[in-house]
Amino acid sequence: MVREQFLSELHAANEKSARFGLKLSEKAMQALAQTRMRVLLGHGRVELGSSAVSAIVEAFCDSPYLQQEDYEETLAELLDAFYYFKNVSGERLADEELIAAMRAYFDTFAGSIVGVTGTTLEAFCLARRFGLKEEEEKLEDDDDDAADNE
Amino acid sequence: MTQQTTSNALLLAMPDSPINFEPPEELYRLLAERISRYTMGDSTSVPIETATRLLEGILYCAHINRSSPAQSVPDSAPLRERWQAGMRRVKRLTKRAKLLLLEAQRIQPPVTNTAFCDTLAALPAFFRGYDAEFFAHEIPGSIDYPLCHPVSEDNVGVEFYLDYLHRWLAESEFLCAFSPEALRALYERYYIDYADLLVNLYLPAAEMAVICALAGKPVRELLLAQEDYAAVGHALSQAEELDARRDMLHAADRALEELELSGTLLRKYTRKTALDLLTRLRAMENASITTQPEEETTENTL
Repeated sequence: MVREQFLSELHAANEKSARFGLKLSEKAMQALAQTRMRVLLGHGRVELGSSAVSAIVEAFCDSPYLQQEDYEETLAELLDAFYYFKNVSGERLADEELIAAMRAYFDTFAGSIVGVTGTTLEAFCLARRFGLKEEEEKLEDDDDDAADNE
Repeated sequence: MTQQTTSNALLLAMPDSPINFEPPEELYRLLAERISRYTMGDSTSVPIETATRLLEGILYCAHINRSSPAQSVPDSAPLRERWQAGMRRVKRLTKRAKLLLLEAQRIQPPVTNTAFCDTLAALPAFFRGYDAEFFAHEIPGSIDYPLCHPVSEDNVGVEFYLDYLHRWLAESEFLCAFSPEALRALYERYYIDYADLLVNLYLPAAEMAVICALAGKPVRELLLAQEDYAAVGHALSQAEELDARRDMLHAADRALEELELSGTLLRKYTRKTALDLLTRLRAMENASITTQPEEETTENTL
């Protein structure tokens, strides 16, 4: 039942991402379902209702740095990073906020997953967890700098 | 993540859970809904520890509905209905617990100690931390004072708290029947530093009251002459087990009567204390027989 629901979400997400030339094959969707299960267990998390995947797809599909050739692999890595940072933030970051921050770093580092999983986003999540303000401001500054560079 | 995998993961986290008795599909749907409500839609996932706690909360509410004297929703009803009925009962019990807490704050023994006062001050925190909606099985707050007869480990959530308060009140009510001087003198003999040690205040008073009743002496004084101790010890050591048990129970009843105390729980509580005392005396007697020469066998085991 959960797997079917997840695949149906991926189908819906596929329709949205297709507008940006990004599409997952049936095989890729099955593989992503496996990846999701693995990373959830790996990060000690439970997701019973709808998944965060469609929100991730929706948030990232218009990124100029996301390419069809590595779409499946990038999505799997983003999913892994997402659940990792959910834990790091100590549940203090809503999915929407975290995905937005991940997208910002993804674009700032020209589509590099290492940029997303790097120390700055981790510091941001930790800052939220421990109620620190500076790191959030730093993130906003980074965003401004990135915008200026562009 | 398949449903089977999820259930297995949660089962691993909670091996003693009665999860197997609930329909997995219903349990899954209800848990998914509770997770969504708990995160207020901000997160699609939660740590497995949180999911386990939420699951335990659901199962506890279903259990409390089943164990309710007037079970409003039968076991054959869908889990959601049983959970909701259980949660309503949990909320009713929480209100009852608030009233009992007021009673516990009002009825305080003439002599207390640090542990008693600290726990009394900490008891209201239960209501600030208790979450009947999500974690009805948990017992927030710090409840350290050791009761003479602790609450069963099977009791959790508000049931634990209520039982603790009932027992606390029974003990306090009993202690209120004595003068502070009599209690203080007894504690000083029994514990030496009763004020700062994590010790129960009811136990010595109840035991001494039963012994006084056995000796036919005034219970309120909580004091016996050495020869009276010896006489009681001798009588008990000579009595058959059944007779000794009967004597202890009668003594407990007589003590309560003399103290003008009644109440089913207090009677049961004091009777249990009397029987525990007998068990201890018998054990001491046996130990004494095996370790001492025959001529020194205990006449004064008390």
